[in-house]
Amino acid sequence: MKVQIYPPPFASLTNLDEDGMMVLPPGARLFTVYRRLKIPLVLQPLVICNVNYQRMKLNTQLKDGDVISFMLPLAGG
Amino acid sequence: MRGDFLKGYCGKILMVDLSDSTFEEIEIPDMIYEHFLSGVGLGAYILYKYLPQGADPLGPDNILGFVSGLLTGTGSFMTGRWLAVCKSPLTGGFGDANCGGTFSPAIKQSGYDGIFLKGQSPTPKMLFIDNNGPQLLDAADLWGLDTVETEAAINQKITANKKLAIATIGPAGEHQSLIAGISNDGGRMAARSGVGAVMGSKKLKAVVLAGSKMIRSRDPQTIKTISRDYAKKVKASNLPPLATGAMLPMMGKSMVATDKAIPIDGMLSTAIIKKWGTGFTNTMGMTMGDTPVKNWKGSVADFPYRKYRHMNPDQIQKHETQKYHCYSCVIGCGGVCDINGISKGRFSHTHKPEYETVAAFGSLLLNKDRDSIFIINELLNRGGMDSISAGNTIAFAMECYEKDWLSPEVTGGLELTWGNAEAIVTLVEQMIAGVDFGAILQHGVKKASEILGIESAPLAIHAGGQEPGMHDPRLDPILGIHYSCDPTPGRHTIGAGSYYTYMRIWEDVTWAPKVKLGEDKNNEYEATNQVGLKSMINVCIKQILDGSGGCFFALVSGLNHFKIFDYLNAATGWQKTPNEYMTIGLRMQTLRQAFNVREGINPRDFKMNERLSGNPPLKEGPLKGKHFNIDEMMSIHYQFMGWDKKTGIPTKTALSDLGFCDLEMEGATHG
Repeated sequence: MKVQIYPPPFASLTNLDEDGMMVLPPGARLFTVYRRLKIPLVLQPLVICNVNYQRMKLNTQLKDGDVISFMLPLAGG
Repeated sequence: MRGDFLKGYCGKILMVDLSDSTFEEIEIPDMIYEHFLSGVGLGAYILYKYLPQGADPLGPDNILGFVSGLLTGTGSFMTGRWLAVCKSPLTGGFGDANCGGTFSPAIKQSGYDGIFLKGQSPTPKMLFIDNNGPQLLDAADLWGLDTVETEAAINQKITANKKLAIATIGPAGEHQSLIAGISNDGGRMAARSGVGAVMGSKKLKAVVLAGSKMIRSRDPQTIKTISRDYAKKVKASNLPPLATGAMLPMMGKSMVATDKAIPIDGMLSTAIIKKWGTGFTNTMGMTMGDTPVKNWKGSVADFPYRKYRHMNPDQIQKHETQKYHCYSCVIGCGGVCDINGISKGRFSHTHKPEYETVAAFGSLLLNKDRDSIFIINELLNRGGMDSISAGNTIAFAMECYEKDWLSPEVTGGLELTWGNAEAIVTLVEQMIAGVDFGAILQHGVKKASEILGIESAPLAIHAGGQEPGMHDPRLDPILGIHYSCDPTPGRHTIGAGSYYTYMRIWEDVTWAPKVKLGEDKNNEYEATNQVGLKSMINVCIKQILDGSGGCFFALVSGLNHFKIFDYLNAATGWQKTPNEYMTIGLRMQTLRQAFNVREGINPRDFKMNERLSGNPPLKEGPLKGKHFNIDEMMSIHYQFMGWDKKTGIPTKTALSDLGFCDLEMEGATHG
């Protein structure tokens, strides 16, 4: 199955195509995405990750077409 | 309002002549809205049509407009901003500034899309509009009051069936400081372009609105559905409990650790804005290199952690007693802070300082005294002065002082050493009052440099006379294009490579290039076609946003969430495609540029100070060695806008293609 990933800046991009899609085995869970993006353990408390714009636990089972977003702040004022 | 108006707009404006106290309602044909929307587009149309060529910006011929957005009041979210427009006394070209709060819907509830004022009153006046129509009232007793005092006095004086919406100037606008703004909602500022000076020149102290007319749109149900979906996503976006302001510098570092572009979901950025407002950039911008230091010549090495940690937004939040939202906003970045103790009883509270103010009076001046920034924030809000321009101007003075070009004799004894908070506060007070050494700085950095001598010009950081926002183009060169190429130069919200990535416009606009994961960000330091196209797209969508009354934070939360094109179609009943709206955005910007050309502006003269393009490059910090050729960047932008690549003047072909001849605006083609 394929899910859309909006990765944080410090993530490994090797498992994503140029549109940010990641191929996962059926029944994969959110922690697999964390692992494949190689998000450092120390930064994990900082990261906001939503699945389809809802906060989900790391063991959430994903399905084809899910949108997984990691927060990245932006400038403004 | 005409009976058939179910289009989100009112279809008319009010023109007030302050010289003879007369009022004229002017009906605006549908075609004008279809060509220019409302907001900044309608403002540009009115100025182009009614303002005499060569008008003195501070004379009776200038026109000052208060314009609402097309989407304001239609039930759409994040669309409550109003625009002040005029010929800018700061740049000599098109001037505009925008602000949130509650003033924008009040304009339309008065029955007008815009309220425009020409002429000059011999005595101070305020314009009052309720459902019985407009009237000019004496305001002599208000002249001399600050913006907060003025609102309080008006609320005492006028009784209405609803809460009054008030826009006013403070002392800075009264004595026509060229960096004066217009305040509403107790010190929120439409700060840029010197719009407050124009209001002061007209002896107009305030515009007070109490109308309650309906704003109707074509398809309110669709608007409601879009709004509900957006609100649901914003509500779900929250920071984890462990996230604190102390972590922001690390996040800043991580963002510049890679040269690869990473398209993000902007929606989740709303979580951080909900928590801290714009203040999250206070410290994060330091490690990214986004925040300017020491009059733009320094880096985080000059203002290290032990200093910038005082700007940690958590420390600022400690004073926050209340959060607030603008009209129709679901994010709520605003706050009110208790500063009674800090100011020793002088002020009870202030709006939570925006990032722009914190940076302009913090790192830019090497000032680590957070308390002084709270006080300066309130002084500027009450005095009615632009914090970006004021901070840049003081930074210039400090660099001159450092070079011994200014002595304590000239500054009236003020020791303008970097970081001298006491001197900075005193200087801000002097600038607002227009007295002592502040009289030299009160009109912004360009004028100050002209007074102090030609050799100081390289230290005067501005673009076309207007000081830049607190975001560094050496980090994001497309930002520098907009500082230099916008008809109202020096503004940080027009466009940037990062904004382009966040808004994901390629999902709506078929010809917009997609940002691919892993693209090399360093490509944006070259004047390529890709850069030209992105900068042009930034401009077009920003005009649409400003024509709609939209909030910048909604735009960068992503157009895949903030469905502005669908909102516009639902409000008006039009069936335009995103591509067609982008043509409207292009037309709006081209009209503003044509206005400048008509007023004798050479667009190339708006080029920002070369220090901002890394000439010379910084020697330390995250932007060490970064530079780009701003002249080439301007050329490529002009080319993609359909303007002459060398001069920046809109070409006859472009004007014709955009339909200016059909609009009986042939004058625009004379460029």
